[in-house]
Amino acid sequence: MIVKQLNISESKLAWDDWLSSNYKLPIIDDDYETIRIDFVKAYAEIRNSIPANSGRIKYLTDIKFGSFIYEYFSDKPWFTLRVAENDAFWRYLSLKVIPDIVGKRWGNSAADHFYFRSNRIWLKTIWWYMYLSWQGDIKQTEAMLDNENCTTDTILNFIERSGRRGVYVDVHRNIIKQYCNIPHDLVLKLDSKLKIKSKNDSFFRCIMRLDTARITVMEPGLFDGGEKAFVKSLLNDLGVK
Amino acid sequence: MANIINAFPVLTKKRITMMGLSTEGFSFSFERDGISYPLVTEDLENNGIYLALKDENGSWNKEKDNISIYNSIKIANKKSLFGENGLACSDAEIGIALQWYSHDSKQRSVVQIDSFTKDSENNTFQLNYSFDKAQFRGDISFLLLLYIKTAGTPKENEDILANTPGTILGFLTEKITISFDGSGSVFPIYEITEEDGPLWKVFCSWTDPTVERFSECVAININNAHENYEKLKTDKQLLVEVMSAALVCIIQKLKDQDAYWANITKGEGLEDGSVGSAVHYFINALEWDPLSPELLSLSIRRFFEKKV
Repeated sequence: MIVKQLNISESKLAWDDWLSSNYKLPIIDDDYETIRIDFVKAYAEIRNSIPANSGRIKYLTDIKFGSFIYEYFSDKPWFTLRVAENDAFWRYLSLKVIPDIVGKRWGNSAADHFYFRSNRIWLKTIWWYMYLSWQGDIKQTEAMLDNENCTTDTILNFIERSGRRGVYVDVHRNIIKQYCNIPHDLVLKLDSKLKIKSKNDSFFRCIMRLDTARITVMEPGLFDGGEKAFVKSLLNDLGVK
Repeated sequence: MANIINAFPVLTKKRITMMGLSTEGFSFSFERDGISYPLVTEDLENNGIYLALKDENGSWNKEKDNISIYNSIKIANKKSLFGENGLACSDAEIGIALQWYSHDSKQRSVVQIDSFTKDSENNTFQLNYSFDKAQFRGDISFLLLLYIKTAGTPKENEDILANTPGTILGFLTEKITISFDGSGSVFPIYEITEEDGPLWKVFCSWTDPTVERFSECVAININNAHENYEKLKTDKQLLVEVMSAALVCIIQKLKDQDAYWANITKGEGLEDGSVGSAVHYFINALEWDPLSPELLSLSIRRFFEKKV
C-alpha cells in the first residue's frame, strides 16, 4: 500500500476541483477505494446510531468516527505515528478519498476542515483526540470521552491549542481523564463563573492555560508522582480536589 | 514566548562555568535486530545547532526504524550547585534530564538521565535512550537540563531556592535541532497544470507563522499549461519578476498580521524553518526592506537581479 500525500499546492488544486466539479468524488486506486467503502459504511452506521434528537450529535459523531478510524488504522503496518503526524496524509484522505463525509460533517465549503488549517483538518483532529485521550484500549477511551463534560469545544481546545513545541502526551491523557471524572454540575458551575468575564471561556480552557504556564517552570514527567500527580496539582490549584 | 521571571535562582553562564561542566556532544544511532548502527550528523547551517542525520550505509529507514541518542556529561564541581549560593538545598538531590520537543511530531517529553547530591561521588553521567520506531517527522530539538529530583529541608538562607521536585533549574547547553526530513531547506515552488489559468499564483496559509513551517504554508505555483511557461525557463528576468511578486505577497500578508510582525522583525520566538524565521532571514540577512510595499518590491527585485 503506497501512502498517498497531498502537499499544500496539490491540496489547493484538489479543493478547487472539489468545488468546481460540484462535489464529485475523485478517482482513486484500489487500496484507497477499499478505505472509502469502509469509511462511508461506518459513517452511515454511526450517524444512524445517534438519536436524531440528541443535543450532542456533532460531538458523538466526532468521537465515534474518531474511534473507528483510530481502530481502522491501528492494525495497518503502513500506519505509524510518523504517518499520523503528516498533514499531507490527512489532506489526501480528506480531499480525495472521503470529501463527501467531511462535507457531511462540516459542509462542502469548509476549507479549514478539509485542508486549509493544519489544526482543523477534521479527520486528523479526531484521530489525535483519541490518541491524546488514550486509556489503554479503544473501547475504554471512547467510553471515557462519551462524557457530559466533553463537547466539540473540548476537542478544539485539546487539539488546536497544542502548543508551539508539541504536547506532553501523558499530561494530555491525564488531563482528559481527570477532567472527565469531575462531577458535571461542578464543571457547569465553574464554566458559568468563567463565562461572566468572557462568554467563550470554560473550565477546560482554564486547565489548558494553567498547564501551558506551568510547564515553563516544571517538567511534568519529573514531578513527584509523574504526570498524573502534575495534573492533579493543576486541578487542585484551580479549586477542584 | 513571554519572558519568564524566575522566583528562584537558576543556571546562568557563570554558574555553568563554576560547576565545571563538560559534555561529549549528542550522537545518534538506530537499532535493527538488536544491532546498533551509527548515524552521522551533518551541520546544515554551520553553527552546530541545526543538523541532519544520515546513515552512511544508506539503510536507515525513517518509516520503520527508530533513533537512539547518546551523550556523556561531566560536572566537576557539583558542590557549587548546593546551598545558599547554589540552586538547591544542601541536602536536596539534583537530577539531569534530556528535554526534547517537536512541533512537527506534535509531541514533547523528558528523559531522566541520572542524579546527584552534594556529596555523591560520581561526576560523569551517561545518556543512552532509544525512541520508538517511526515516532518522528520534521524537526526535533534536544536540550539537557537540571531539575530538583528530591526536595531538601531548607536551612537558613535556603528559603529562596527551588525545592519542588520537577522544577527546572536551567539548561546545561544550547539546544540542538535534528532535521529529520530536511524539508525545511526546500523553497516551495511547484508545477501545476491549469488550462486557461494564469502563469503563476501564490498560496499562503498559516495560523501561527512563528511555528508553522514555511515549506508547508507557502507555495508558488507555476502553470505549465500556460503559453508563456517555456519563457520562464529561458528568460531569467521573467523568473525574477514572478519570484519577486510572489514574495512581496507573502511578506505583505505577514506584515498585515500585527500580532506576529514584531516577533518577526526582532527574530524572537521563531521556530526553525517557520514562516516567521524564513521572513526574518529575508529581512535581516538578505536585506529585503518591508517598510512599504514599493520598497519591499524594489529590494526583493534588486536582490534577485543581482543573483541572475
